[in-house]
Order: sequence, then C-alpha cells, then structure tokens
Amino acid sequence: MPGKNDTQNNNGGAQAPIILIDNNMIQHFLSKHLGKELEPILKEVEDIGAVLSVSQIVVYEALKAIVFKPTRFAEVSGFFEKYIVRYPVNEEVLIEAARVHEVYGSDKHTKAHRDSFSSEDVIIGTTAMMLGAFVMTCDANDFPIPFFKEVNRQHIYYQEKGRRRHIVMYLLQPDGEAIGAALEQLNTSNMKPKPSSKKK
Amino acid sequence: MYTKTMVTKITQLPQLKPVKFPRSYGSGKVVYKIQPSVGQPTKKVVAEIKRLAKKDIYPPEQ
Repeated sequence: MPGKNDTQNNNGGAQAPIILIDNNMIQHFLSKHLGKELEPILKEVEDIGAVLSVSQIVVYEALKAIVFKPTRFAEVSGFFEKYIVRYPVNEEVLIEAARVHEVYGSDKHTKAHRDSFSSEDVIIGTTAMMLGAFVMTCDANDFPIPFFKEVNRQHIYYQEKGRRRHIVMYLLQPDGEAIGAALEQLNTSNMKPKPSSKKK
Repeated sequence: MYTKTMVTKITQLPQLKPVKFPRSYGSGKVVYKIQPSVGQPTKKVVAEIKRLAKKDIYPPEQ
C-alpha cells in the first residue's frame, strides 16, 4: 500500500490520485541527461500528493534493457521492490485487457492501429481504467483518443552531445464515457442473433 | 517551435472513477480490486528517482 501520507491529500479526505508511469518515462527519469530536467515534474507530483506507481508489466519492460548489467539491474530492481507501488498483472487484468484491445478495434480512429498497440501498453491502459488512475507517458499515441484524454502536457528541453533535444510528457486520463459506450456497443452487437443465411 | 508559454504545471487532478467493465468471468463483482504492492511515500520515491538519475541508469543509446 502507499504510505499513509499518500493515500489522502488535503482535499477533504479524497483519495490521492494515482499516476501510473509508463516505461519510457521511467527510463527518462533515470537518465542523467534528462532526469535533471524532469525534476520539476516530480516536484509537482509530490506537491499534489499523487501516488507514483507502475503496472507490474513495466517491471519487465524496464528491466529487460539492463538485466545483464548487474549494477544497474540491482539498482532498478531494488527501486521497484522497495519504493514504488506496483499493481499486479493478474488474470482479471488480462481479461479486461483483452476487452480493451477489442474496444480499440471498435472505433474508427483506432481500428486500423489496433494491433499496433503493444500488449504492455494495453495492460497499462487497462490498469489505469480499472483503478481510475492517470498515465504519465511521453508517447500519447500508445493511449489513444477517444479512450484517453489529455490532462497535462509539458515540453522538456535538454542537451545531449551538444545538441538541443526535447521530449513531451503527457498526463492522460481514461475517458470512462467513451470506454463505457464502446463496451456497451460491443456487447450489444455480439448479443444480436446473426441473420440466417438459409434462403426460404 | 514550442515555447515556454505552452508549459502548464500539474496542479490539482480530478478525482477519477474506475471504468465499470461488464462481468462475465470470475467473482461477479462489477469493479475489480487490484491490490497493489507496498510502496514508499511519494517524497521518498522522488528522492530515490533523483539518486538513480545521477547514476545514469539509462544513458542514451550509442
């Protein structure tokens, strides 16, 4: 569970917002070039009392890049184990992720790209939907409109090898209405009896 | 080119409700309860992220 101070904020005892961090942001936070530039965002998150967390699928994503680099592996696995709140990828999440995959396939804007969404991102998005949580990512395309909407966007500039670069940090929230409507439509359309192909 | 004026701080966030998925599997509850692992308060998480960033865990690809 999050620390006691993190479960409630100063908003009349309302539950603290949960922010699920995508793997790309984890990697940016833990890089020397960009990490320093991202510190103001961490400060803002701390100030509003949000709970920083990840889906367990991010543990896999974040570790696969460094799993055979013992020092880095020890640091990052220790960070996940001891510090950050992790939401499990259990059978219930996977079943709903299957539904979300079909939800993405049901909308004209996302249908063509349904199979382009990585399973990891579908699982993170599903976890956010199930929790009522925000997603922090630097690739908003992984959490598509109309099923996610933008809450905050920040452009971060940094120097790397003498060149000026930049990333965009997005804070997104699931759109419960759009998701609910798509789920209902999918349920209804699949419950209708199929017209008989036999000719009378 | 984007400018500083486009930067907005994360201030108060709205209270979100979980999406109600239709049930056809499992315990019959409408909204699942996903039990999280134990974590540290945000302040400590942020401090650890800053410490790890100095170690350059994910340097840019060569």
